Amino acid sequence: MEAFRIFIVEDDIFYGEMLKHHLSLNPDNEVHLFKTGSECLKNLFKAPSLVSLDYSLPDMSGLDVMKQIKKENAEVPIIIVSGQEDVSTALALLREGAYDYFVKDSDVKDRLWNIIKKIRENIQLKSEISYLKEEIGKKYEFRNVIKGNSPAIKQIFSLIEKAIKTNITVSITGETGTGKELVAKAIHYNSSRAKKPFVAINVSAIPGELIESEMFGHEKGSFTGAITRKIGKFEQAQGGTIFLDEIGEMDQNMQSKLLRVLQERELTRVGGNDTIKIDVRLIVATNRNLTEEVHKGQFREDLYYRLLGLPIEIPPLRFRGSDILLLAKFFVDEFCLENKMDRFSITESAQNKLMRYPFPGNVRELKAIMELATVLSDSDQIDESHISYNSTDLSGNFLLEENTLEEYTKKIIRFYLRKYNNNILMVAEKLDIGKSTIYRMIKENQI
Amino acid sequence: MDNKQPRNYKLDKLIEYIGNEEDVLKDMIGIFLNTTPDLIDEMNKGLQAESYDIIGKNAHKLKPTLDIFGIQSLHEIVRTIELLAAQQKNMHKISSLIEFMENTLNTVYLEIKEDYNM
Repeated sequence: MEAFRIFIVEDDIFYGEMLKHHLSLNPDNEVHLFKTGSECLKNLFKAPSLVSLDYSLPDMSGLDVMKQIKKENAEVPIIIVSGQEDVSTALALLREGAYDYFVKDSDVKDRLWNIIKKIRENIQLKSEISYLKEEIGKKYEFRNVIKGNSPAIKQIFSLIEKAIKTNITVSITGETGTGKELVAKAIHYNSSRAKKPFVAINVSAIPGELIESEMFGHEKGSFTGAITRKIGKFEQAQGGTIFLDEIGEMDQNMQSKLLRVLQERELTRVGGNDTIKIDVRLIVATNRNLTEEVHKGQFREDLYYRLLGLPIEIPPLRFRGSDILLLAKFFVDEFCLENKMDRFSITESAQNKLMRYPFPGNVRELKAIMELATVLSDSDQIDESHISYNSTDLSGNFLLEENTLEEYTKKIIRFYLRKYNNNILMVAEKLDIGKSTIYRMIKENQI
Repeated sequence: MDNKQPRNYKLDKLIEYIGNEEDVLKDMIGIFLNTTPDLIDEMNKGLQAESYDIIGKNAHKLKPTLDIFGIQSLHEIVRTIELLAAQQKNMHKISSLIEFMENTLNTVYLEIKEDYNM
């Protein structure tokens, strides 16, 4: 940690020297002593972490010095030390932004130590926070997070870039596991709002009756159980971005409340009277088709148009071609790094197996599959046998396998036999084929 | 330092502040010996000019130093001077209090010089 620079402004040489010696007992403190206000002001460029200011200085009043310091740097804590107790002066100074006020009496020493300790902790916390924010920012440098070379994903990159430049509402659609929240975070942490909060709400995860207070907050006593005031997610996100996931799950009543907030750009906490201005960027996501919901009357049309903004549709993994392999490799490497394992390679047969699979759970599923494969493998290779799919939903992908018609026929019959517990009569009936066909195929070991 | 007789000052509080390093302690004592007589001079000038203002200001400045040097006998005196000056009354009493203060301080200077070979 950098030195803690303390300015003591004190015309009483003895007292000033004493404080200086006292505070210098901690080697982390770098103490500067000034006998006049103007001397202190001339040295402000040294960026003090704390100023201890005598109230009555020969050249100017402590209040004036404080105002000047605040003008240069409003953040620096200023402690006023005075020879006499005068409550009204103390109050006036505190109102003007003094950090504390005390009289030159016996416990100045302990109070100073405590204040310095507190301020140092505060500074440390602040620097930790800004460091973490920076780290998060790096983490979400979107080309590092969202991986892929497919045209589909490049299209997403260009949309994200557009979204970053403005405050436009973004609506993200995509199947489960495609990375909707990742895209939302990438937009936030690369936008001008990056230093303010990113707040996510999963609409479907919050019971209907709680969602309003969750989003907009509530006042104390506004309903049973509201024992304290609660700041809602919208207020928490002030200046930043709010991400409403699964927006399609929002009930109609809440939809109209949300619409009003978006139109007015202000909200009222549940049970409150005051309106609170809000400045948040909105990003919504859904895996439902909202247009359909609108047609069915499940989703308000006016809200739909307000939320649409810049639509970003994240393609399912199966449409992203060789991105599958790129991501598979990435997840394996990442997993090895996290678990301090040596690198793995993925055999060609394993790659082929991956490319044939439809990934109904998309990137999230691929990640799980690759992590499992890494664990299962005993060598430094991941081969076909390590890749196991748990998903039962084979529709959709099926046609991507590009088999011959004969192979497709066999696959279909095999699937139905498994499904109906090898009941040949049932399968024949379901598929509308003769049972003898099935018998023949079994006999010829085709199935 | 061997205290043969009770002293008018006590450095406990000062040591509490700056630690017990002799160099630093002597530095501080040096400043005390240099600056305190000036404040008393100022107060005497204030007496001559009958300026409550000057007297009050310097009493105010003197107060913490006397406290830190543990000069108990002057603890109330300096406060009384400050109060009277603020009330702008009883120059006569102020004058005798300053005289008492000056005498006590002169003793303290001698004691300290003796104790610390200065």
